[in-house]
Amino acid sequence: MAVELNGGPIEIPRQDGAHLLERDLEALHPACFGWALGCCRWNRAEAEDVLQTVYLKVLDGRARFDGRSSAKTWLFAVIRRTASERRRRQWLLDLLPVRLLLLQPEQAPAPAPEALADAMEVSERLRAALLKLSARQRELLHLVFYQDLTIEEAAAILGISVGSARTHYHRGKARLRHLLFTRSA
Amino acid sequence: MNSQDEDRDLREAFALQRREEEKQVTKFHRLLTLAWTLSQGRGRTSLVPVILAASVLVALGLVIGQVLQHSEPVAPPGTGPTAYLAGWTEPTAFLLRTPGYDFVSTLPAFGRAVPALDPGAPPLPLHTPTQQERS
Repeated sequence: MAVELNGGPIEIPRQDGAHLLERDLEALHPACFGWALGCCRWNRAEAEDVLQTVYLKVLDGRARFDGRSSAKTWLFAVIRRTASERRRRQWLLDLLPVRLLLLQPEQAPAPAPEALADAMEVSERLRAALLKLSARQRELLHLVFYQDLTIEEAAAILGISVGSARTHYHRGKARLRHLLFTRSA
Repeated sequence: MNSQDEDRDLREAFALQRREEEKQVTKFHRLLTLAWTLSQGRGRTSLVPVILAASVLVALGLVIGQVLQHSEPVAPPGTGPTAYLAGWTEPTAFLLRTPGYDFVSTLPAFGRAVPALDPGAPPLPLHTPTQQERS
């Protein structure tokens, strides 16, 4: 498939039988960005980096859509895996004094309070509450409520059983509701 | 009241968050262009580490080859470490040698002297039956 960028075509490799077009990627981009933000604990710079790596994987064929699931489910799984890889690499760099040797740039700081000043209060409270949940619960609730996916689809993206996903979903929902509404009440 | 109604509060909160975040989404084409640029750069430079690694391996092979060629001459068969290892016995082997071990481990044969039980004693003479014994 060819993507027109800066006047030149970009070839996106694909597996036979699968049709992942540039317009599909573009249509999914806002949802992917939201999911990447969630996977990176709302660190915008990190989310951009993850999404860029995902597109790079798609471009050079390291991530190939085989058409077994929906494009959205597949892309979300790639984003989640890429975010985990990045987190592991960052953890290793933080653990070892390698950063000094490699002259790695400092990790992008969390969004400044000024940048969030105009953000809505509900959204901020939701973010703060979500950060108190376990990663699995946070991811499940995001996929179900934010991305409007079913629990089965969310389980496929997270690579867990539907039963386990259901358990995380119900526990996460109860805890989130408690954090959001009981405290404020 | 179904689950949709039950979760209306959460759905509304997430919808607010989605609307807010959608306003700040980084442009798709910006990220794709950056990824494409990286992809092109990677394609050009991907051979460099491979060539470097191959050069290091070849150099290492040459050094090892030279070292082996100029190492000590190979010992003739039977005198080298293999022969030493083949002839090696454990230091506690003598503990397994019970009295009469030589006697038991030797097959008896007609017309041959039995091994001496006392290694220091002279060998026993062969017993030849006399004419009287034969009759």
